[in-house]
Amino acid sequence: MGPLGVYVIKRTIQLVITLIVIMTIIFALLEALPAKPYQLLMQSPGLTPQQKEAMIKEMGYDKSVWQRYLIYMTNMFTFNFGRSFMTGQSVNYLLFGGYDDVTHSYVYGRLWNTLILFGLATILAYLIGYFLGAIVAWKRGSWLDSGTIVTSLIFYNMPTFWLGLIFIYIFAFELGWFPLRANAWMQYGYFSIAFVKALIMPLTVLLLVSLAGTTLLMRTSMLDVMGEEYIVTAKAKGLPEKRVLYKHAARNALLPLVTSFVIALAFTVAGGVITEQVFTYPGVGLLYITALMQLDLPIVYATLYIITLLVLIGNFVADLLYGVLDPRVRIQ
Amino acid sequence: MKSVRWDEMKRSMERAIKTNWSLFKQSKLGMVGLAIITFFIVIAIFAPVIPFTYSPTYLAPAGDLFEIDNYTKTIPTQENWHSPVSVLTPRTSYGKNSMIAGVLLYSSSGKSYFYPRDFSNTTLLRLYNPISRDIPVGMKDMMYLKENTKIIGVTNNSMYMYSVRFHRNLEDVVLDSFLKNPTVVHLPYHVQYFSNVWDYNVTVTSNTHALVAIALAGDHNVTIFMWEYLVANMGGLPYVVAPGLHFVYNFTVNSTIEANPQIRFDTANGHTWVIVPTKSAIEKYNILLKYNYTGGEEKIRYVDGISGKQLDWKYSLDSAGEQLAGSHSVSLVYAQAGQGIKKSRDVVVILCKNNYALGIFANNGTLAWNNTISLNPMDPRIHTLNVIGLHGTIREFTMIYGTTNVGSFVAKLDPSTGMVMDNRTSYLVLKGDINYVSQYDQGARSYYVSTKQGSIYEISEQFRTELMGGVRGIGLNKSFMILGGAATPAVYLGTVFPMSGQTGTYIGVVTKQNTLYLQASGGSRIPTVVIPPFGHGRYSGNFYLFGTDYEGHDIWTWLVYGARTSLLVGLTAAIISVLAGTFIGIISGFYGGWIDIVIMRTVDIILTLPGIVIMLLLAAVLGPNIWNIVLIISVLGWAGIARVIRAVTLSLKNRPFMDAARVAGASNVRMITVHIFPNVLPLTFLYMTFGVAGAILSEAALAFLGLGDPNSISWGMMLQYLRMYAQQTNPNAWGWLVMPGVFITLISLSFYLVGRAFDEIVNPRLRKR
Repeated sequence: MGPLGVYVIKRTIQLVITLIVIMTIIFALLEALPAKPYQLLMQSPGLTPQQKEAMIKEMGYDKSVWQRYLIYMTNMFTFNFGRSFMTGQSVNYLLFGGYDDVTHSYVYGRLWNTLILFGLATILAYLIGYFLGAIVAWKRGSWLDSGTIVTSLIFYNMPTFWLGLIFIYIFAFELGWFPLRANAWMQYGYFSIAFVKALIMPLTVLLLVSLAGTTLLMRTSMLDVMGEEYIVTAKAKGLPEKRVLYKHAARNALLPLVTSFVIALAFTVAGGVITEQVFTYPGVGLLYITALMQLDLPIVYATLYIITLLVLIGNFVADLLYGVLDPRVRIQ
Repeated sequence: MKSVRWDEMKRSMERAIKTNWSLFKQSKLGMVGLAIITFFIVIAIFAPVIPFTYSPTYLAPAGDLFEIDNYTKTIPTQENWHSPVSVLTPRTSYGKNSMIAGVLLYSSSGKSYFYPRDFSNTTLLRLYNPISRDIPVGMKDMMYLKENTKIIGVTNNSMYMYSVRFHRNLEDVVLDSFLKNPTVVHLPYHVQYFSNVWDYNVTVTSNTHALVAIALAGDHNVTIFMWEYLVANMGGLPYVVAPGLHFVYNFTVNSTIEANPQIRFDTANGHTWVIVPTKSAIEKYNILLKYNYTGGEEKIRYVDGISGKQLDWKYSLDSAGEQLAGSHSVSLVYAQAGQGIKKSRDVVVILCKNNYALGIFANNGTLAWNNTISLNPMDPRIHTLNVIGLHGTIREFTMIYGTTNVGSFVAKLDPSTGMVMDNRTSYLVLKGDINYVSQYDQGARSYYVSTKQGSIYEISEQFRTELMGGVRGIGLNKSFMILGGAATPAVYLGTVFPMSGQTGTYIGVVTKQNTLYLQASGGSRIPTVVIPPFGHGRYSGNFYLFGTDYEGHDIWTWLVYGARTSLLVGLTAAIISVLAGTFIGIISGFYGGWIDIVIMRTVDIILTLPGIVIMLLLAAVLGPNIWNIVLIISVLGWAGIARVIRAVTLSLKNRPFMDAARVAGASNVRMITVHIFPNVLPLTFLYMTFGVAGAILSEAALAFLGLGDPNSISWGMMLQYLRMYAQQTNPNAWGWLVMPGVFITLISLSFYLVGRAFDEIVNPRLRKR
């Protein structure tokens, strides 16, 4: 087994331990919530004491905390997320899609919804950011450079939800180009104009906000590279400027962008809460926050687990990639 | 010795500040950031004396609502106008006095004012000078609020046009339209319940005879009165034979009566039935009214008794009888069959305790449905529900209302099933407790609901769905605050027919300043009222720089006071997390070993936590409070700083001066405080500026997602209120939407810019960029 294999195994063990610790913290936090989920449901006046007892049993609250903890951990690691307390829908279907036996309809997996929107936004933000960052760094000191920096800084510090509200007000409410809520497409499916229309506004807002970060990152990275001697050499050789820019400088400045991209991709699912809430986009974030508000713990647990898992794997992959892409790290 | 060292430190500090300042000055963006920060600090400190600011609790006064003060009347302040304001409406179809309409006010001390409507101008609402009267027949001391006195309200009656009716002791008193000529009928007992609160026109014989009856009830007694004897003449217009209540029949029930009895005419077999809700059951009695024909051909018919009474059925609610509510929370309505409405929907609704509702077919008296009203599937936020009352109309729009854990609600009841109509647009959550629901306004086809805050909502029949989801409420045609609050909870709506035939519906309110406001609402073409949120401008002398929000809070004032919250949260959270991070980082780097391992693993875990998701979870656990938010931001914020500081500490540890200190016998504490800490201080300061920007954005996001401190005035909360409560958008009121976001961006940006400029000083490598 080579050194890389040992490294991968070590990191995998570390990942699993971290996952267990985080899941334990989440369990403890949700146990510490001021209200228990069955208390909310039991306020329904028509329930008999037997039904209430059955409800507590069904939710597992007749067992001790330790038993529940063990069941919870087993369920999480076997991807058996159970059913929603509130609607009775299968959480697995909600997250990954499937034919739902409660509403008798096909449910589009919230995870895929989120990955489509945020994956697209992240990829576009990094693609555009790569070129924009490279160009403005190349033309350092010009009005284009300072203009881009100021615009990027403003968008970087702008609250996403506010930008979303403004977009909704202008393009959905006043102009009526897009739907007010980005969830009506669910009855038409992914391959419909309704879905494209629902995507455009959240995508633009996400792009504007994250483009600021990627552009600045690429610009900084480019400036580092541009100080290197091989760029001077390339220029001195009389290579065309475009060739120096894209072949020699930008490609070498890509490294921090790639690792940050992998982590960003992993964090997309986590970052969705606000944007999805503003646009009512049916993704994991919206699922999480609505479930949290109504103490629908199976959904809360499942979404938190999926989000954490993705973040951890993303970090892991980013570390590996860093080693693969940068020979200087590989030696260590 | 000590003073020398102090002087030395002071000198070196001054020197450091001077050189750093001259470096800082070179960054233009940094200077801009510093200027913006200074601006925010100034407005935060001097908030109360900033121009155009009001107190943060300031609400725009009601006078600001009205563009033309023709609609306001100052009423005598010495009176205590606790009774309803009524807009009296004429019945044009019945001939005489048809054009008399106006506003009636009456007070608990027996004063009354009647402002007749000026019909000379059909487009503007004008009122003549009031006709003032004392309520006659020695009723002053007993009016309305006293024990054993029940105001029944103002009736729209074919005989009286409108009249004030109340029960006092053992008397039923009716005053005519000019509050004169009382008709007094002696009652057999203290009446507590009436067959129909709003309208006496309950037909108990077939349509051609048009006889109406009411049932009054005490604890165990039910009495049937004929309201008036009418005959239909050849022209179709009824005329009155004998006005007032005419006793017909009295019977007793065993159990205590709990709510208004309901009297209906059974079209199938010509009987009249009376539904009596009692403590343990709902009982239906079938009676046959006995007619006394006098005058044969003229078809004048009297009812002079009952030929038989039988208990048709009895619906026991449960063995304990607990599902029936107390007298105040039971409300009986009926939903008559209208044109195009199926007979099956013609249902009498009886509302019981625990949100339990019974429906009884109005044409034959059998049970239509019995079920529990629940809103949870409609809105998962609703965990507790208390249905207070319901209103029905001759159309199919039966509305229930009550309170929930998220606010009061109104919902549309399906008369064929008794459930809240099965889609999410058939209910509305309103802010504040409901204290009055109007009669159904047939002109505007809507209800008017007033809340204890002083808002009046117009709720349209359709509960329209096509309105804006995120920013605008569903089903509300319009809503407005009686800014400053309404003194009387009551609002009366009536339809006024001006000469030209156009219909106007008016809301009358007495405000806390003892001013009568009359405002045209739906169905009218009269533009009378500016609905908050206000746009920028001057309203009856008050200036709002960026307008107001929907409650009448001045946006500029809230922006200024919001700066305090933002700076407080941002600075405290940044200081706590940065100091904690620095301290932990130094310890970790300096001591190494297992301390280092434990700390770094913790840091790893915190850094992999998905930020906003965990923040929401913590906020839900800890509860919405500004200090909890600071705590949450700090708990999640220290880790990144600790990692950097640890790395710096590690490199410092191996520098020669550290060896020198160690050889000189310096203790660990001394090495940390004197040698390491001053060297990481610039970095600490740098992270603090970035931390402030991050904390401010986090606070705003938490507030926007509904987990902010509801008692704080913050920019995030302003946007949260906008998302939740903006019922209509006023294009002029852009301030509410735009300004909080601009301020959040500016303050976050300014700290970020200062941080960047500072970064260039700390890391000279960056400066050349």
